[in-house]
Amino acid sequence: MKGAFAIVLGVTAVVVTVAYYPRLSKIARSTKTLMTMEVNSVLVFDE
Amino acid sequence: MVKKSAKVAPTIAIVGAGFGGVNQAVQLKRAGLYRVTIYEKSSGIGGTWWHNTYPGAEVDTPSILYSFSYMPWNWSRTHVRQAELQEYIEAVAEKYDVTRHIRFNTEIEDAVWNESRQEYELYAAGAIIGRANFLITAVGMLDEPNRPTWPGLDTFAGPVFHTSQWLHDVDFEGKVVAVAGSGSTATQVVPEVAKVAKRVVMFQREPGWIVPKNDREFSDDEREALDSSIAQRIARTTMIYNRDKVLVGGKMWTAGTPQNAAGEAAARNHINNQLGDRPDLVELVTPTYSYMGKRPIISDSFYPALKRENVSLIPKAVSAVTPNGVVTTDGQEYSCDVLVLSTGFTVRFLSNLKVHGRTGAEMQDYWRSTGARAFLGMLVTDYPNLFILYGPNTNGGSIVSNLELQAKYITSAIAYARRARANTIEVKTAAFEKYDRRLMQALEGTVWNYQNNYYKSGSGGSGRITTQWPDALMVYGALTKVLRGPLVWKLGYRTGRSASAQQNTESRATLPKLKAPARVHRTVSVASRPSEDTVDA
Repeated sequence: MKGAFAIVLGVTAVVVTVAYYPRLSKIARSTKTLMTMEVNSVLVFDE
Repeated sequence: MVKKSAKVAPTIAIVGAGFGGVNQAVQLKRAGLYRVTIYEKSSGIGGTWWHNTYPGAEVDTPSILYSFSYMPWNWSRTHVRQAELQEYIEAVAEKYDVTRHIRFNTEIEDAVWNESRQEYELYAAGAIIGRANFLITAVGMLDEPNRPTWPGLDTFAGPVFHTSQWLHDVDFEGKVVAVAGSGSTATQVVPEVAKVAKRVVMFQREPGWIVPKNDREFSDDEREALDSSIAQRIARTTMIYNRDKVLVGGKMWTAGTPQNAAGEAAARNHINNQLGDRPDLVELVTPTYSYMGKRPIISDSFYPALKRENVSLIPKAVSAVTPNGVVTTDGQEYSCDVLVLSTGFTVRFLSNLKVHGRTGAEMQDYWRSTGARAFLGMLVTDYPNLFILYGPNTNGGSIVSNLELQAKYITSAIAYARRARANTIEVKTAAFEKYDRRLMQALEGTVWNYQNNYYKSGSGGSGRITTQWPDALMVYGALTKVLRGPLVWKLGYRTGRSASAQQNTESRATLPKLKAPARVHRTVSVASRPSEDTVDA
């Protein structure tokens, strides 16, 4: 029973990853781009 | 005795349609509280960004942080300018259908708590124009332009105006422009005006610490990345975390700490990098007080502007004005064609709004005796159902994130009262006093205490720091999640006309210039009011 559940879970994970890979990949790229921006975000402390 | 009235959605009045007011309305509507009216004295939304349209007006906080978490935006620059901020707040209001809740050109002058009706009566031009069970003020703390009282100011022959009331039809070409003041606004104005004016003369009472902004346009890749709302949210959260790491514990504004020393070193490097070849200017722009003693200025363009041939920096304050120019404290007169007053704003919590609580006392009178203070900057004992956005000791961190935290707290409090079918909610005195003691302890020893700055405004002569939050934003955020519920909030139920209600009625008799309502109001109870989206009388 546990083995079947693990297989279903694994297959689902693979399907989701493949189906959404382009989108997830774009989010990861975009996040990396925004996180490496050089803006003064530390020394500024109010509006 | 619990009344049925609490079953009906409460009426909520918000004063001010800037970032704070619009966001508050969004949060209330998301929580199912639709009977909201925003009273705005101007003819448009935006608050600060509606009024301040001077050349070079832009935000000091990175754009990604100067936006609501629920409304990412494809910003054009790292630090955007007034027009884009105005576009943004209008888009927020449009998307969340807030605009139809706003009554423009309506300045609420008095809000008077009526104990028997358990609601605030809202006065404009001396007459009641609305009522509300809950009152939320969103007028900011820097709303009132600080207009100098220099002798002869009215005699100046040319155009003279405050930066927040910019005269866009004044042509600077070929003119000598005097800019009085050297704060954040002046450092944005001078580089822009210097591009067109014949000469700009800037008058500086005291230099301020300036740190680099690293302002620039976003690249195409970055613009594409900004399209991902998830990525933008992750970046926003990370930026807040990175800022807070430096601010936690208040080390940044404590002299002698590594954080404060690093900040000062960055500011000194900025001076040397940009003015290293002009030792005369280095001396003029280097402050003698501790870093963070006053609000630091964030600018990349100011120091280069000082090196322009048509810009002069006079290290003296203006003391008088003649028909042809200005006179400094050393008696020297400087001729000019246009006089720009970059003299900042008067810190006044609640702005011109006079709020009268249960005892009838007007808030400013109460604060005159204690110094401006409020629980989490939002709640004050004996002012039931009143919430202050960006109130005392909430300045610091990222203002827009701060406003979001406060709006969620206020929404929760109103929903809590509604669930309990209570008519009123306010902070318990013991909780307020304990919070205030801890706050004062945290403010002790900060560099803010030792400088002449606006942080002590409204202290009633006590020297109390009234504007600043002494720790990281995430600490404030955590407190807004913890300091709630029955240990902190006191609920009230209408049980008939109480002694305090009578006292309130009596005290109202002494209020100045409060006329009778312009027309007869319905005398229906809250319980029998029809469900409506506004709280207008």
